[in-house]
Amino acid sequence: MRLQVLHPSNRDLRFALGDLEATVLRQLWETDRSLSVREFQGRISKNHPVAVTTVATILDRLHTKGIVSRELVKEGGPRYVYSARFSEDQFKDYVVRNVMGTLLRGFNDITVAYLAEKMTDRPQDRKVLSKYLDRLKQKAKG
Amino acid sequence: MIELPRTVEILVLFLLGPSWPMALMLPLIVGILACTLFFKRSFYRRSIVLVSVLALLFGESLLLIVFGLRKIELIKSSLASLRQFLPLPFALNLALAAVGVLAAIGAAVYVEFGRSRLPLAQLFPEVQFTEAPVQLVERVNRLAAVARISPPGVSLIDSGIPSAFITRSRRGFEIAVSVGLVESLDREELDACIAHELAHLKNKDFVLRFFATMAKVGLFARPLSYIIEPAVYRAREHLADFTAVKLIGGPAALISALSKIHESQIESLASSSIATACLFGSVRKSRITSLFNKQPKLEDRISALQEL
Repeated sequence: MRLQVLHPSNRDLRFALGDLEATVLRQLWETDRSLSVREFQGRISKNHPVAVTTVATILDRLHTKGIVSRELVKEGGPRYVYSARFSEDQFKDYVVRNVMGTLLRGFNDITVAYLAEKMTDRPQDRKVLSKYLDRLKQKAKG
Repeated sequence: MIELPRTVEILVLFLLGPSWPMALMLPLIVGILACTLFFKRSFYRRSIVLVSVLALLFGESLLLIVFGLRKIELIKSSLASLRQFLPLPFALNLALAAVGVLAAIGAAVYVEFGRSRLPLAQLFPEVQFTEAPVQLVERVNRLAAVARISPPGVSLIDSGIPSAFITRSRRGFEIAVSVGLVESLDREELDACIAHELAHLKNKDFVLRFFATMAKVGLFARPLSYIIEPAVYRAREHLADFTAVKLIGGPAALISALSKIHESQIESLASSSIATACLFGSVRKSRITSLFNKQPKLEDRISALQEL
Protein backbone atom coordinates (compact mmCIF):
# COMPACT_ATOMS: atom_id res chain seq x y z
CA MET A 1 0.00 0.00 0.00
CA ARG A 2 1.29 3.44 -0.92
CA LEU A 3 -0.07 6.65 0.51
CA GLN A 4 1.46 9.45 -1.49
CA VAL A 5 -0.62 12.39 -0.40
CA LEU A 6 -1.98 13.24 3.02
CA HIS A 7 -4.61 15.89 3.60
CA PRO A 8 -4.17 16.85 7.28
CA SER A 9 -7.16 19.24 7.26
CA ASN A 10 -9.60 16.43 6.34
CA ARG A 11 -11.16 14.08 8.84
CA ASP A 12 -11.65 10.35 8.57
CA LEU A 13 -10.64 8.45 5.43
CA ARG A 14 -10.23 11.66 3.49
CA PHE A 15 -7.19 12.33 5.61
CA ALA A 16 -5.31 9.82 3.51
CA LEU A 17 -7.43 9.61 0.35
CA GLY A 18 -9.12 11.99 -2.09
CA ASP A 19 -12.86 12.60 -1.65
CA LEU A 20 -13.91 10.25 -4.44
CA GLU A 21 -11.29 7.67 -3.53
CA ALA A 22 -12.75 7.52 -0.03
CA THR A 23 -16.31 7.30 -1.34
CA VAL A 24 -15.38 4.50 -3.74
CA LEU A 25 -13.44 2.54 -1.13
CA ARG A 26 -16.32 2.81 1.34
CA GLN A 27 -18.59 0.99 -1.12
CA LEU A 28 -16.30 -2.02 -0.93
CA TRP A 29 -16.41 -2.07 2.86
CA GLU A 30 -20.19 -1.78 2.90
CA THR A 31 -20.53 -4.98 0.92
CA ASP A 32 -18.74 -8.28 1.35
CA ARG A 33 -18.27 -9.12 -2.32
CA SER A 34 -16.24 -7.73 -5.21
CA LEU A 35 -17.81 -5.07 -7.42
CA SER A 36 -17.54 -4.03 -11.06
CA VAL A 37 -17.01 -0.40 -12.06
CA ARG A 38 -20.65 -0.06 -13.13
CA GLU A 39 -21.84 -1.44 -9.79
CA PHE A 40 -19.67 1.12 -8.01
CA GLN A 41 -21.10 3.90 -10.11
CA GLY A 42 -24.67 2.70 -9.48
CA ARG A 43 -24.11 2.80 -5.74
CA ILE A 44 -22.28 6.12 -5.64
CA SER A 45 -24.52 8.05 -8.03
CA LYS A 46 -27.51 7.61 -5.70
CA ASN A 47 -26.07 10.48 -3.67
CA HIS A 48 -23.40 11.94 -5.93
CA PRO A 49 -23.72 11.98 -9.74
CA VAL A 50 -20.47 10.75 -11.24
CA ALA A 51 -19.48 9.36 -14.68
CA VAL A 52 -18.47 5.70 -14.98
CA THR A 53 -15.21 6.83 -16.58
CA THR A 54 -14.39 8.79 -13.44
CA VAL A 55 -15.09 5.81 -11.19
CA ALA A 56 -12.93 3.62 -13.46
CA THR A 57 -10.05 6.13 -13.23
CA ILE A 58 -10.34 6.42 -9.44
CA LEU A 59 -10.42 2.63 -9.02
CA ASP A 60 -7.37 2.26 -11.24
CA ARG A 61 -5.55 4.67 -8.99
CA LEU A 62 -6.60 2.82 -5.82
CA HIS A 63 -5.27 -0.31 -7.50
CA THR A 64 -1.96 1.37 -8.34
CA LYS A 65 -1.68 2.46 -4.72
CA GLY A 66 -2.20 -1.16 -3.69
CA ILE A 67 -5.33 -0.46 -1.67
CA VAL A 68 -7.67 -2.64 -3.76
CA SER A 69 -7.08 -5.76 -5.82
CA ARG A 70 -8.78 -6.54 -9.12
CA GLU A 71 -9.45 -9.37 -11.48
CA LEU A 72 -9.95 -9.10 -15.23
CA VAL A 73 -13.14 -10.81 -16.45
CA LYS A 74 -13.20 -11.26 -20.22
CA GLU A 75 -16.56 -12.99 -20.71
CA GLY A 76 -19.42 -10.68 -21.64
CA GLY A 77 -17.24 -7.66 -22.39
CA PRO A 78 -13.91 -7.18 -20.61
CA ARG A 79 -14.20 -5.57 -17.17
CA TYR A 80 -12.52 -5.58 -13.80
CA VAL A 81 -14.05 -6.72 -10.55
CA TYR A 82 -12.47 -4.98 -7.59
CA SER A 83 -12.20 -6.22 -4.03
CA ALA A 84 -10.76 -4.68 -0.88
CA ARG A 85 -7.34 -5.82 0.24
CA PHE A 86 -7.79 -4.42 3.73
CA SER A 87 -10.67 -4.04 6.12
CA GLU A 88 -11.58 -0.55 7.26
CA ASP A 89 -9.83 -1.12 10.60
CA GLN A 90 -6.70 -2.48 8.95
CA PHE A 91 -6.62 0.53 6.66
CA LYS A 92 -6.99 3.04 9.50
CA ASP A 93 -4.39 1.16 11.48
CA TYR A 94 -2.01 1.40 8.53
CA VAL A 95 -2.63 5.13 8.08
CA VAL A 96 -1.96 5.87 11.75
CA ARG A 97 1.16 3.73 11.83
CA ASN A 98 2.39 5.33 8.63
CA VAL A 99 1.87 8.88 9.91
CA MET A 100 3.16 8.25 13.44
CA GLY A 101 6.12 6.31 12.11
CA THR A 102 7.05 9.25 9.92
CA LEU A 103 6.71 11.67 12.83
CA LEU A 104 8.74 9.45 15.15
CA ARG A 105 11.49 9.12 12.60
CA GLY A 106 11.61 12.83 11.93
CA PHE A 107 10.86 14.39 15.34
CA ASN A 108 11.27 11.59 17.85
CA ASP A 109 11.47 13.51 21.14
CA ILE A 110 8.78 16.03 20.34
CA THR A 111 6.37 13.36 19.13
CA VAL A 112 6.80 11.17 22.21
CA ALA A 113 6.49 14.12 24.58
CA TYR A 114 3.37 15.36 22.81
CA LEU A 115 1.73 11.92 22.89
CA ALA A 116 2.48 11.44 26.58
CA GLU A 117 1.11 14.90 27.32
CA LYS A 118 -2.07 14.34 25.28
CA MET A 119 -2.71 10.92 26.73
CA THR A 120 -2.86 12.17 30.30
CA ASP A 121 -5.72 14.52 29.35
CA ARG A 122 -8.59 12.06 28.90
CA PRO A 123 -9.48 9.29 31.38
CA GLN A 124 -9.92 6.59 28.70
CA ASP A 125 -6.51 7.45 27.22
CA ARG A 126 -4.93 7.32 30.65
CA LYS A 127 -6.17 3.74 30.98
CA VAL A 128 -4.50 2.75 27.72
CA LEU A 129 -1.33 4.54 28.73
CA SER A 130 -1.11 2.79 32.10
CA LYS A 131 -1.68 -0.57 30.38
CA TYR A 132 1.29 0.10 28.12
CA LEU A 133 3.35 1.34 31.07
CA ASP A 134 2.65 -1.94 32.92
CA ARG A 135 3.76 -3.87 29.89
CA LEU A 136 6.91 -1.75 29.72
CA LYS A 137 7.71 -2.42 33.40
CA GLN A 138 7.24 -6.16 32.91
CA LYS A 139 9.53 -6.06 29.91
CA ALA A 140 12.17 -4.26 31.98
CA LYS A 141 11.94 -6.95 34.69
CA GLY A 142 12.07 -9.89 32.27
CA MET B 1 15.33 46.79 -49.50
CA ILE B 2 12.69 47.41 -46.88
CA GLU B 3 14.09 48.65 -43.61
CA LEU B 4 12.67 46.57 -40.79
CA PRO B 5 13.09 47.61 -37.19
CA ARG B 6 15.91 45.51 -35.74
CA THR B 7 13.72 43.83 -33.08
CA VAL B 8 11.11 42.76 -35.65
CA GLU B 9 13.86 41.45 -37.87
CA ILE B 10 15.36 39.39 -35.06
CA LEU B 11 11.93 38.03 -34.13
CA VAL B 12 11.18 37.04 -37.73
CA LEU B 13 14.55 35.38 -38.10
CA PHE B 14 14.12 33.53 -34.82
CA LEU B 15 10.79 32.12 -35.94
CA LEU B 16 11.85 31.24 -39.47
CA GLY B 17 15.36 30.14 -38.75
CA PRO B 18 18.23 30.44 -41.22
CA SER B 19 16.11 30.82 -44.30
CA TRP B 20 18.05 31.22 -47.48
CA PRO B 21 15.83 32.35 -50.36
CA MET B 22 13.80 35.10 -48.75
CA ALA B 23 11.10 34.59 -51.37
CA LEU B 24 10.13 31.48 -49.42
CA MET B 25 9.09 33.53 -46.46
CA LEU B 26 6.07 34.98 -48.22
CA PRO B 27 4.28 31.67 -49.01
CA LEU B 28 5.22 30.50 -45.53
CA ILE B 29 3.60 33.40 -43.80
CA VAL B 30 0.61 33.31 -46.14
CA GLY B 31 0.21 29.57 -45.52
CA ILE B 32 0.30 29.88 -41.77
CA LEU B 33 -2.01 32.90 -41.79
CA ALA B 34 -4.43 31.00 -44.04
CA CYS B 35 -4.44 28.15 -41.55
CA THR B 36 -5.34 30.33 -38.65
CA LEU B 37 -7.79 32.60 -40.48
CA PHE B 38 -9.50 30.68 -43.27
CA PHE B 39 -9.21 27.01 -42.32
CA LYS B 40 -10.36 27.40 -38.77
CA ARG B 41 -12.81 24.53 -39.07
CA SER B 42 -11.57 22.79 -42.21
CA PHE B 43 -9.03 20.56 -40.58
CA TYR B 44 -8.32 18.69 -43.79
CA ARG B 45 -7.18 21.79 -45.70
CA ARG B 46 -5.43 23.06 -42.62
CA SER B 47 -3.27 19.96 -42.27
CA ILE B 48 -2.53 19.88 -46.00
CA VAL B 49 -1.37 23.51 -46.00
CA LEU B 50 0.76 22.95 -42.93
CA VAL B 51 2.38 19.86 -44.41
CA SER B 52 3.03 21.82 -47.61
CA VAL B 53 4.76 24.51 -45.57
CA LEU B 54 6.95 21.86 -43.97
CA ALA B 55 7.66 20.31 -47.38
CA LEU B 56 8.56 23.73 -48.75
CA LEU B 57 11.01 24.33 -45.91
CA PHE B 58 12.47 20.87 -46.29
CA GLY B 59 12.76 21.32 -50.04
CA GLU B 60 14.64 24.53 -49.40
CA SER B 61 17.11 22.64 -47.22
CA LEU B 62 17.65 20.18 -50.07
CA LEU B 63 18.12 23.03 -52.54
CA LEU B 64 20.58 24.64 -50.21
CA ILE B 65 22.64 21.46 -50.13
CA VAL B 66 22.47 20.82 -53.88
CA PHE B 67 23.33 24.37 -54.89
CA GLY B 68 25.67 24.84 -51.98
CA LEU B 69 27.69 21.82 -52.95
CA ARG B 70 27.91 22.97 -56.54
CA LYS B 71 29.00 26.39 -55.38
CA ILE B 72 26.92 28.18 -57.93
CA GLU B 73 27.97 31.76 -58.33
CA LEU B 74 24.34 32.89 -58.13
CA ILE B 75 24.19 32.04 -54.48
CA LYS B 76 27.18 34.11 -53.63
CA SER B 77 25.81 37.15 -55.39
CA SER B 78 22.30 36.81 -54.04
CA LEU B 79 23.76 36.11 -50.64
CA ALA B 80 25.65 39.35 -50.67
CA SER B 81 22.46 41.34 -50.99
CA LEU B 82 20.68 39.23 -48.39
CA ARG B 83 23.49 39.15 -45.91
CA GLN B 84 21.77 41.58 -43.61
CA PHE B 85 18.87 39.14 -43.22
CA LEU B 86 20.95 36.11 -42.48
CA PRO B 87 21.54 35.45 -38.81
CA LEU B 88 24.14 32.80 -39.53
CA PRO B 89 26.97 32.55 -42.06
CA PHE B 90 26.30 30.61 -45.24
CA ALA B 91 28.60 27.72 -44.36
CA LEU B 92 26.78 27.19 -41.09
CA ASN B 93 23.41 27.31 -42.89
CA LEU B 94 24.66 24.67 -45.25
CA ALA B 95 25.98 22.52 -42.43
CA LEU B 96 22.71 22.75 -40.49
CA ALA B 97 20.71 21.82 -43.58
CA ALA B 98 23.02 18.88 -44.31
CA VAL B 99 22.89 17.57 -40.73
CA GLY B 100 19.10 17.98 -40.74
CA VAL B 101 18.60 16.08 -43.99
CA LEU B 102 20.91 13.29 -42.83
CA ALA B 103 19.07 13.11 -39.50
CA ALA B 104 15.73 12.96 -41.31
CA ILE B 105 16.96 10.09 -43.48
CA GLY B 106 18.28 8.32 -40.38
CA ALA B 107 15.01 8.84 -38.53
CA ALA B 108 13.02 7.59 -41.51
CA VAL B 109 15.11 4.43 -41.69
CA TYR B 110 14.79 3.94 -37.93
CA VAL B 111 11.00 4.32 -37.96
CA GLU B 112 10.47 2.24 -41.08
CA PHE B 113 12.84 -0.63 -40.35
CA GLY B 114 13.36 -0.42 -36.59
CA ARG B 115 10.59 0.98 -34.49
CA SER B 116 7.58 -0.10 -36.53
CA ARG B 117 8.86 -3.70 -36.63
CA LEU B 118 8.83 -4.06 -32.85
CA PRO B 119 6.06 -5.91 -31.05
CA LEU B 120 3.56 -3.74 -29.19
CA ALA B 121 4.89 -4.65 -25.74
CA GLN B 122 8.33 -3.38 -26.69
CA LEU B 123 6.99 -0.19 -28.28
CA PHE B 124 5.20 0.71 -25.04
CA PRO B 125 7.09 -1.02 -22.23
CA GLU B 126 5.19 0.91 -19.56
CA VAL B 127 1.83 -0.44 -20.78
CA GLN B 128 0.55 -3.94 -20.02
CA PHE B 129 -1.21 -5.62 -22.94
CA THR B 130 -3.36 -8.72 -22.93
CA GLU B 131 -5.23 -10.57 -25.63
CA ALA B 132 -8.46 -8.90 -26.72
CA PRO B 133 -11.70 -10.89 -26.34
CA VAL B 134 -13.45 -12.07 -29.50
CA GLN B 135 -16.36 -9.60 -29.19
CA LEU B 136 -13.98 -6.65 -29.21
CA VAL B 137 -12.13 -7.99 -32.26
CA GLU B 138 -15.45 -8.52 -34.06
CA ARG B 139 -16.53 -5.01 -33.20
CA VAL B 140 -13.32 -3.54 -34.64
CA ASN B 141 -13.66 -5.72 -37.75
CA ARG B 142 -17.25 -4.61 -38.27
CA LEU B 143 -16.32 -0.91 -38.02
CA ALA B 144 -13.30 -1.47 -40.30
CA ALA B 145 -15.66 -2.97 -42.88
CA VAL B 146 -17.88 0.13 -42.64
CA ALA B 147 -14.78 2.30 -43.15
CA ARG B 148 -13.64 0.04 -46.02
CA ILE B 149 -10.18 -0.53 -44.61
CA SER B 150 -8.46 -3.79 -43.78
CA PRO B 151 -9.00 -4.46 -40.07
CA PRO B 152 -6.04 -3.77 -37.75
CA GLY B 153 -4.92 -6.10 -34.97
CA VAL B 154 -6.64 -5.62 -31.64
CA SER B 155 -5.07 -5.57 -28.17
CA LEU B 156 -6.50 -4.95 -24.74
CA ILE B 157 -4.63 -2.58 -22.41
CA ASP B 158 -4.63 -3.91 -18.85
CA SER B 159 -5.55 -0.61 -17.21
CA GLY B 160 -8.66 0.88 -15.69
CA ILE B 161 -7.96 4.34 -17.11
CA PRO B 162 -10.14 4.89 -20.20
CA SER B 163 -7.88 5.19 -23.22
CA ALA B 164 -7.33 3.93 -26.76
CA PHE B 165 -4.76 4.36 -29.48
CA ILE B 166 -3.69 2.98 -32.84
CA THR B 167 -0.10 2.38 -33.86
CA ARG B 168 2.16 0.53 -36.22
CA SER B 169 3.90 -2.53 -34.86
CA ARG B 170 5.33 -5.81 -36.05
CA ARG B 171 1.83 -7.15 -36.64
CA GLY B 172 1.01 -4.17 -38.88
CA PHE B 173 -1.49 -1.62 -37.66
CA GLU B 174 -2.75 -2.35 -34.22
CA ILE B 175 -5.51 -0.76 -32.20
CA ALA B 176 -5.26 -0.93 -28.41
CA VAL B 177 -8.23 -0.30 -26.16
CA SER B 178 -8.06 -0.19 -22.36
CA VAL B 179 -10.30 -2.28 -20.11
CA GLY B 180 -11.33 1.00 -18.45
CA LEU B 181 -12.69 2.30 -21.76
CA VAL B 182 -14.70 -0.83 -22.53
CA GLU B 183 -16.17 -1.17 -19.05
CA SER B 184 -17.19 2.45 -18.63
CA LEU B 185 -18.62 3.43 -22.02
CA ASP B 186 -21.81 2.14 -23.56
CA ARG B 187 -21.91 0.36 -26.91
CA GLU B 188 -22.35 3.44 -29.12
CA GLU B 189 -19.73 5.45 -27.27
CA LEU B 190 -17.19 2.65 -27.53
CA ASP B 191 -17.94 2.33 -31.26
CA ALA B 192 -17.33 6.07 -31.60
CA CYS B 193 -13.91 5.80 -29.93
CA ILE B 194 -12.89 2.82 -32.06
CA ALA B 195 -14.17 4.63 -35.17
CA HIS B 196 -11.95 7.60 -34.28
CA GLU B 197 -8.88 5.36 -34.13
CA LEU B 198 -9.84 3.60 -37.38
CA ALA B 199 -10.35 7.02 -38.99
CA HIS B 200 -6.63 7.70 -38.50
CA LEU B 201 -6.01 4.67 -40.67
CA LYS B 202 -8.64 5.60 -43.26
CA ASN B 203 -7.31 9.16 -43.52
CA LYS B 204 -3.76 7.85 -44.06
CA ASP B 205 -2.58 9.80 -41.02
CA PHE B 206 0.37 7.52 -40.51
CA VAL B 207 1.84 8.53 -43.87
CA LEU B 208 1.18 12.22 -43.22
CA ARG B 209 2.55 12.11 -39.67
CA PHE B 210 5.59 10.25 -40.94
CA PHE B 211 6.40 13.00 -43.43
CA ALA B 212 5.61 15.76 -40.94
CA THR B 213 7.92 14.24 -38.34
CA MET B 214 10.70 13.60 -40.86
CA ALA B 215 10.45 17.22 -42.02
CA LYS B 216 10.59 18.39 -38.41
CA VAL B 217 13.72 16.33 -37.79
CA GLY B 218 15.24 17.68 -41.00
CA LEU B 219 14.39 21.23 -39.99
CA PHE B 220 15.69 20.93 -36.45
CA ALA B 221 17.43 24.29 -36.81
CA ARG B 222 14.15 26.03 -37.60
CA PRO B 223 12.06 26.84 -34.54
CA LEU B 224 8.96 27.22 -36.72
CA SER B 225 8.91 23.51 -37.53
CA TYR B 226 8.42 22.67 -33.85
CA ILE B 227 5.12 24.51 -33.98
CA ILE B 228 3.98 23.34 -37.42
CA GLU B 229 4.44 19.61 -36.82
CA PRO B 230 2.25 19.38 -33.71
CA ALA B 231 -0.31 21.60 -35.48
CA VAL B 232 -0.49 18.98 -38.25
CA TYR B 233 -1.10 16.27 -35.63
CA ARG B 234 -3.83 18.29 -33.96
CA ALA B 235 -5.58 19.01 -37.24
CA ARG B 236 -5.55 15.30 -38.15
CA GLU B 237 -6.97 14.49 -34.72
CA HIS B 238 -9.95 16.76 -35.38
CA LEU B 239 -10.27 15.30 -38.87
CA ALA B 240 -10.36 11.77 -37.40
CA ASP B 241 -13.25 12.92 -35.18
CA PHE B 242 -15.18 14.15 -38.23
CA THR B 243 -14.48 10.93 -40.15
CA ALA B 244 -15.62 8.89 -37.14
CA VAL B 245 -18.86 10.86 -37.06
CA LYS B 246 -19.46 9.94 -40.71
CA LEU B 247 -18.69 6.27 -39.99
CA ILE B 248 -21.06 5.95 -37.05
CA GLY B 249 -23.69 8.31 -38.46
CA GLY B 250 -23.82 11.21 -36.01
CA PRO B 251 -21.73 13.14 -33.50
CA ALA B 252 -23.82 12.40 -30.38
CA ALA B 253 -22.03 9.21 -29.27
CA LEU B 254 -18.55 10.66 -29.82
CA ILE B 255 -19.43 13.89 -27.99
CA SER B 256 -20.79 11.95 -25.04
CA ALA B 257 -17.76 9.61 -24.95
CA LEU B 258 -15.30 12.52 -25.06
CA SER B 259 -17.27 14.43 -22.44
CA LYS B 260 -17.20 11.45 -20.08
CA ILE B 261 -13.46 11.02 -20.56
CA HIS B 262 -12.95 14.75 -20.08
CA GLU B 263 -14.96 14.62 -16.86
CA SER B 264 -12.96 11.71 -15.53
CA GLN B 265 -9.68 13.54 -16.24
CA ILE B 266 -10.83 16.68 -14.44
CA GLU B 267 -12.40 14.80 -11.51
CA SER B 268 -9.39 12.63 -10.96
CA LEU B 269 -7.09 15.66 -11.11
CA ALA B 270 -9.26 17.48 -8.60
CA SER B 271 -9.41 14.50 -6.31
CA SER B 272 -5.69 14.01 -6.04
CA SER B 273 -2.46 15.71 -6.86
CA ILE B 274 -1.29 12.81 -8.99
CA ALA B 275 -1.83 13.62 -12.63
CA THR B 276 -3.14 10.77 -14.73
CA ALA B 277 -1.41 10.27 -18.01
CA CYS B 278 -4.06 9.52 -20.55
CA LEU B 279 -3.69 8.62 -24.16
CA PHE B 280 -6.57 10.89 -25.07
CA GLY B 281 -4.42 13.90 -24.30
CA SER B 282 -4.24 15.83 -21.12
CA VAL B 283 -6.17 18.64 -19.54
CA ARG B 284 -5.11 21.95 -18.07
CA LYS B 285 -2.36 23.06 -20.34
CA SER B 286 -1.49 26.67 -20.91
CA ARG B 287 -1.78 28.29 -24.32
CA ILE B 288 1.97 28.16 -24.88
CA THR B 289 2.41 24.47 -24.08
CA SER B 290 -0.66 23.55 -26.14
CA LEU B 291 1.16 25.00 -29.17
CA PHE B 292 3.60 22.10 -28.88
CA ASN B 293 0.97 19.54 -27.93
CA LYS B 294 0.24 16.89 -30.53
CA GLN B 295 -3.18 16.19 -29.04
CA PRO B 296 -5.81 18.92 -29.17
CA LYS B 297 -7.58 19.68 -25.91
CA LEU B 298 -10.65 17.54 -25.33
CA GLU B 299 -12.77 20.68 -24.87
CA ASP B 300 -11.71 21.84 -28.34
CA ARG B 301 -12.59 18.49 -29.87
CA ILE B 302 -15.98 18.49 -28.18
CA SER B 303 -16.80 22.05 -29.23
CA ALA B 304 -15.71 21.38 -32.83
CA LEU B 305 -18.06 18.37 -32.92
CA GLN B 306 -20.90 20.34 -31.39
CA GLU B 307 -20.66 22.85 -34.22
CA LEU B 308 -21.46 20.14 -36.77
